[in-house]
Amino acid sequence: MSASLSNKLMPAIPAPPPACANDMHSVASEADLWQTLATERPFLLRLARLQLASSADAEDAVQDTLIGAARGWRSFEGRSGLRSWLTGILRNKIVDAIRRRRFVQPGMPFDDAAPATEFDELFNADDAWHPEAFIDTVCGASMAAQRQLLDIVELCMNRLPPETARLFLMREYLGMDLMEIEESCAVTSGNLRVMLYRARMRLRECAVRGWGELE
Amino acid sequence: MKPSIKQLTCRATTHLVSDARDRTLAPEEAAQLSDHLEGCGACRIASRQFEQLFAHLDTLLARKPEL
Repeated sequence: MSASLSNKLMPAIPAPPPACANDMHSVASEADLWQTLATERPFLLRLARLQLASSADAEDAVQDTLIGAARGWRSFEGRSGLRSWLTGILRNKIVDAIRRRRFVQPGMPFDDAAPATEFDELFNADDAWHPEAFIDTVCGASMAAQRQLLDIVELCMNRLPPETARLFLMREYLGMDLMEIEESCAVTSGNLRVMLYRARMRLRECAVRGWGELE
Repeated sequence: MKPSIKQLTCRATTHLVSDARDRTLAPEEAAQLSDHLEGCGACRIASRQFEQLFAHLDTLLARKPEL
């Protein structure tokens, strides 16, 4: 990240707790630690905003995550990657916030107005894959760096309609079971199944195009 | 194709692959899926693509360790 960008991000993050100053085993200084954590803030904030009712709650969850990460920096072993570590911490903060406030937006419309025919062009009249539309790229281990592959998935997730993304991440990120999502969001089991299906089909279509560009 | 197993379409196969992410498929569904994949190269590729996508999602969303 460039210095100018990190400087723009830094003011949004509170000063690190003094206790973390001695816990920085792989960053040179307190400022480096916060700059390192700040690089993941936009990703964390996008996840939090999709799950929490207010921007303030999302900001709080991310802020608590970053403070918790700074305090627990010693326990970060680096094996899972910084983003993965922070994403796991944030998940707990979001689940806590949801339980605390029983976040539900009653009657919240699910505005994924995609037509039932959305994926018709992928299949022929017999519902077999259409040879001209089918992308057969499979991402091999050597195709690209793991970071690039994850960036593709992140980019594709960002293209999902907000309500689809919210439901999808309740399942895929928070790990809520289907019945819990149906009750929390007042969505029928059939609608939820369709929404999750659409999200996965869109992600696949987007991802395979991305993999193709890496070749 | 075994005569006792109802034949799936490719589109129906994608629904089952998605469902399998959320629940354990019933034995009949699993048999249908397996039977279709055995005879359909495009669906084998698509199924592999979904597996890779799900693995990347698991990593990105910290559901499993980095690949």
